[in-house]
Amino acid sequence: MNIEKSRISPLQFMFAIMCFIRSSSLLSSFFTPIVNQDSWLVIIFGMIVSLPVLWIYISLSKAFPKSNLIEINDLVFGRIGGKIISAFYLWFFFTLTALNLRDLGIFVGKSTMSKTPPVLIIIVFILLCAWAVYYGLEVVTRYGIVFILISSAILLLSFLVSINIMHRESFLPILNQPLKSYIQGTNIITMIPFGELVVFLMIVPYVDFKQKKLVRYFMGGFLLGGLLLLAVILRDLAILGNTLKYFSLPSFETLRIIRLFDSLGHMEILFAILLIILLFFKVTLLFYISLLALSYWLKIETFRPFILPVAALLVAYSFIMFESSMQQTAFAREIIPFFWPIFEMLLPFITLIVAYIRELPKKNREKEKEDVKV
Amino acid sequence: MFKYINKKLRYGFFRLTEQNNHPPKPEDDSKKTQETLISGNLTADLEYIRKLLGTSSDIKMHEFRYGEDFQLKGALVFVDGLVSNEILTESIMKPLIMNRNLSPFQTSSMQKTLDTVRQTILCSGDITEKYTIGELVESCLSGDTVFLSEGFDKALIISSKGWEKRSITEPQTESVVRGPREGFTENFRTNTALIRRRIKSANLRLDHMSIGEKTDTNVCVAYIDGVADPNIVDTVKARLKSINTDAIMDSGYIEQYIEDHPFSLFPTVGYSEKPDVITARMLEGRVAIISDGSPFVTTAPMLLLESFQTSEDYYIRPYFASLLRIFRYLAFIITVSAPAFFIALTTYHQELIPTTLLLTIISAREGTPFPATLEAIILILSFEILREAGVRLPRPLGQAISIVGALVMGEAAVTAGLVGAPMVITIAITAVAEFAVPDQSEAASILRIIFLVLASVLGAYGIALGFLGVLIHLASLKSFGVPYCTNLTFNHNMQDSYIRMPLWFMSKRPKAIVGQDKTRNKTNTPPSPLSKNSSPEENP
Amino acid sequence: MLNKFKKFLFLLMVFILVFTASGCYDIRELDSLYIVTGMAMDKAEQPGLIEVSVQIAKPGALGSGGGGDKKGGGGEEKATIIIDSVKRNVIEALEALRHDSSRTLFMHHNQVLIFGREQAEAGILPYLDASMRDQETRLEVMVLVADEKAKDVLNTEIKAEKYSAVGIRRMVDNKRSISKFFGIDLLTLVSKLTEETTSPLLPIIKIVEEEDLTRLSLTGMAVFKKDKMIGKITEYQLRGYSWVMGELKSGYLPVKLKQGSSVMYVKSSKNKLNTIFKPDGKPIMSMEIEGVFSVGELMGFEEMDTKQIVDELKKGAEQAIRKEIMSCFKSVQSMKADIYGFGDYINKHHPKKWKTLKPQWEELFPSLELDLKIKVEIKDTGKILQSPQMEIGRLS
Repeated sequence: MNIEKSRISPLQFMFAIMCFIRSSSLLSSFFTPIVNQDSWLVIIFGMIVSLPVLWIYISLSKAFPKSNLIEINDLVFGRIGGKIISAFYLWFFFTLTALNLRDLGIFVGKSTMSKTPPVLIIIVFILLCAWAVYYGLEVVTRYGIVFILISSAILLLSFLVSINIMHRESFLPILNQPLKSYIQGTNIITMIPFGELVVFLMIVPYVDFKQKKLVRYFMGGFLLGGLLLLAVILRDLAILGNTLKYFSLPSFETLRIIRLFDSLGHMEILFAILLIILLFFKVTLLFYISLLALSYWLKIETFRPFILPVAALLVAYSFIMFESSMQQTAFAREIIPFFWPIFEMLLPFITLIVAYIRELPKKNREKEKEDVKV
Repeated sequence: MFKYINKKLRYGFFRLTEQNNHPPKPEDDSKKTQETLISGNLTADLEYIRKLLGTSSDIKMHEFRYGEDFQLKGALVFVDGLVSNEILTESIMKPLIMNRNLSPFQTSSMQKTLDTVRQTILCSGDITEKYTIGELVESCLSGDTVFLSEGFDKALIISSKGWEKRSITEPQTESVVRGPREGFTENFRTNTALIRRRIKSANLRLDHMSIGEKTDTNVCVAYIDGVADPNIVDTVKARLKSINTDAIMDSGYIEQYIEDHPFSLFPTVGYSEKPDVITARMLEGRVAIISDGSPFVTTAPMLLLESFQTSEDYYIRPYFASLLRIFRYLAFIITVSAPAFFIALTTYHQELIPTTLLLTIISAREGTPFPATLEAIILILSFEILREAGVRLPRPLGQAISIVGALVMGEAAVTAGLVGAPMVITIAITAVAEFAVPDQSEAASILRIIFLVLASVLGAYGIALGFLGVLIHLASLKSFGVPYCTNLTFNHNMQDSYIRMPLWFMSKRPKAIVGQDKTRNKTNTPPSPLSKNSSPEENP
Repeated sequence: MLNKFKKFLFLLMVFILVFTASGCYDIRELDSLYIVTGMAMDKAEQPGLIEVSVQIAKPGALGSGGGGDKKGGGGEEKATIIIDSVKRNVIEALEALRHDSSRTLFMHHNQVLIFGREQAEAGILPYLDASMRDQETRLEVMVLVADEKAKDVLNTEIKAEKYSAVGIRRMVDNKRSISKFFGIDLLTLVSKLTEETTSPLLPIIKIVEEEDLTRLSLTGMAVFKKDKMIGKITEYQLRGYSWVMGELKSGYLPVKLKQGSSVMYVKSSKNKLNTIFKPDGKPIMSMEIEGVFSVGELMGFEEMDTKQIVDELKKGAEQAIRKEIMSCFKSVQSMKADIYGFGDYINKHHPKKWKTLKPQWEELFPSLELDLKIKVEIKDTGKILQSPQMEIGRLS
């Protein structure tokens, strides 16, 4: 069974990771009110904490270079065990997609289209995603590089333009908050953009890696993406200062303040379009991965007939998930830190250990050799 | 309703195919004629040819006597107008009639006589022997002269093409400030010669085929062996062979028959009127298709960025060339999205317009009767109509029309308060920007309206979705197996994409297209005055 | 092929349907909008209510003749309209205005937010919430306090400007080139209010009536304690404040000495704040202020060479700066208003000490000591090297 026939380049893979992390800058309000002026520190903590987690992912995909997460589960836990664990992952992927879809709807509603019902915004959006997903992985990841370049250019521009309204004082005092809030903040940042990289285990087998380079590109994407996220938070913090905690979309508020010249308009429209584009990338990728996982789970030849039904389900799911955005923020702050680690740390770790105990990678390799010989 | 239309269409198709299949007899007949051998009886053969070609006035059959004491009977068959009179009289008629040495009794066999005629008498470099009437008629129709002689069961075909043709002139579409000014003509041979003259490599291949049941148009697939990817060459040939039509009027026909995505807004096959452009593309590994009767040569595969490159980019120094290229990208974005942005800003996101500008726009729009979107559509429509009228009319009249349209109507509409001046300005910028990227202007005109509708329905969100949609579509396009936006997304060969690097830097041919021979320059070092090749005088 | 075409048509129709169905909820044609340029909030006569007035750019006014002469009978029609409404909350009042006129109010381009003096004294915080929360308000709107009634300020015409609110904004921007503290935008105000001990400042705008002309003028700053106005400082004192904040970017400093007088342009200023803790734990704010000047004008100084003059000027400037700073500091100390954010500074740099200082800051601030070190640099003497007057003195 080989659903995805096209292969993407390692560079595309790296930029896909970057784009994935970068698009999470929208969600900074999940942790900014908790740690205030130390938000940037929390990102660094989060990156450090994420390193061992990434190591798990990398070792998993090194051990099973030709199988995606669902296939790995089948190999490691056997047919039935694998199916059950994969089902959990499937739920996780779908939830992630729906969550991001919801974020987009709320963002567009808040920033530009306040009167349009979010359902319509989301339906139009998911149709577009469905179109991209229809063409497969190559189309989905194709523009990662372009999006990252554009967003970095806008980030740089906003830094240059706003340099005179940044305050060094905004970052002070450093480390002056209860330990608990740091732990909570670090946990959120680890779980929300960084730990979600577990979804990339689904597409690693479709990248043209020379084995050694996997670490370089995976880590490269993670580090660069993390740095971009850090830069965004630093900018927002430097400009908004202690008011950062008030806003549900800090970056958007920052961009509203920045003026290119005294009379020449505001850059927020650029930012809104940029964020829509980045979120599009993330949602499309997640949507694609969910479908891929679904088709491997059900062992079907193609997921194309499932695209539209799944899209409809996602729209419904993203709407019944929460009643209000307050509830969602509470979910992000209070439930995700305890729930997401199961998928992002615990299960991959268990998989790795079981594989190690059963000496599975070795068998796998022998099998491959046999395949080659045959 | 669709079902109905569908049914109708199918019925129509059925009828068409039926008509095509119905009269099988003449086809059999013509097959027979094609296989009919030349009998050797001059009058009978001529009669047969006359029957085949009908009573066309331009078909000339000239019977004459030649040889020693005019003992031999011969005939020339040619189409008046297609043959050069000079060749006919000076190289064929004159030598034949003036030669008195040829005697039928001197030769032992007929083959020898004909060889003598061919080798010692006729003054032409391209003479072939043909045995069937069909071949004879075919070459006669394509401008050659047929020489028949009494008692011989074969004919000599003497190349004498020489009809009136346009000389090589500066092309109308791709004018340059710096660079070669010659363009292709409608003449097939001239065009192949223009290419051959620029690539003096033994590896240049010009593979010939003819397409079209009725027109029998000469088509030539030109590529450089080794540089072009053999897979692409094979694909091109296979697609050309599979064209099943009776007529090829222009290379535009061929483009539409062989393109990958007939429903896409974007062209996936390129064309140019300039031999330098075509040869440059062939040197990048592309395949050129020259078709008789068209001054436009088709190239495949085509990448999106090709539309933003001009030949002049490579003839001037890289800085300005790169700048111009960036302007072209901007122009394309402007021409596609400027009206959409204007609508989005003025009907959805007024907060983004600087205060003073907003107040100006409001006062300009105050009192105009239509909603902004309708106003934009009206203006775009009237611009397209004006352009169409300007192109079709004779040149002096066309200018008059544009003056009346642009100045009088535009000015009057604004002063009368029917449309707002800012909108007119926006549409004008859009219209001007369209011509910076002529290759994509068809796509741009349609995209512009799509974006306009999106913007008027969903504002900036609509525009963002529109851009994403276009990007997805572009990513899904392929031209002869090569992804359409290959070097748009930093895959490879970025030295000649968004900007143009110096020529010495572009040492590799485009990876996605090229075959075996991948390097262009041996080294990619800048020319330096200290290198061995430079003469010592240059060093101070 | 036909099948593919059918699929294409189907998709096209789905897209068209979805797009047209989803659209046009947020559409606002330009000619259905009232562009609000300024907003004023006054305490209403009835207790607990607020009077919200907005200034609207009259759309037709721009097109009709740019520079008609004003002296002609009747004068030019005003380019703005003022409407107001008295309600309990800001949003309530705005909604009332919105539904009571032929067009919708469009708040995004609001330039200034002016509080009436009475309202400022009663507290502004309850009314800022609406401005922050509302999607339509920008954080960069300038906040001012009117000397009397805010509505009257909006109603006053500014000669060169069509829309007085835009004019006020430009006045503030102009002043801001001296020091950014001359104009306070909503973001800065909220940021200051968030700092626990800092007192915000807001510029005061005043209607000045001259013989046949009423004009607006920015005179000094209102000092707030929490969100209530408690006093004023003058423009002179504000300069002292700006020296301390190290933010004086232009303007001039008159220096008067025995030998003569001079006006010096401020080129830039810097301040290095530091806190020294006395043995008893009380802080002293020490600052190293550095001012860079250029000579604008010299009077007197006969029979002196340039080096002497520069030395004298430096001393004089130092005195002048010290005077400006202390004038402001004494004034706010008496009001117990920490406009400098010294408390916040200690919080940021010495968070542990601050925990003990914070409860008694209210008592500490009035007796706070400053340790001033002022360094003056004269970089430039203008276009001429020596004053003609000096030359004459030397010759005679």
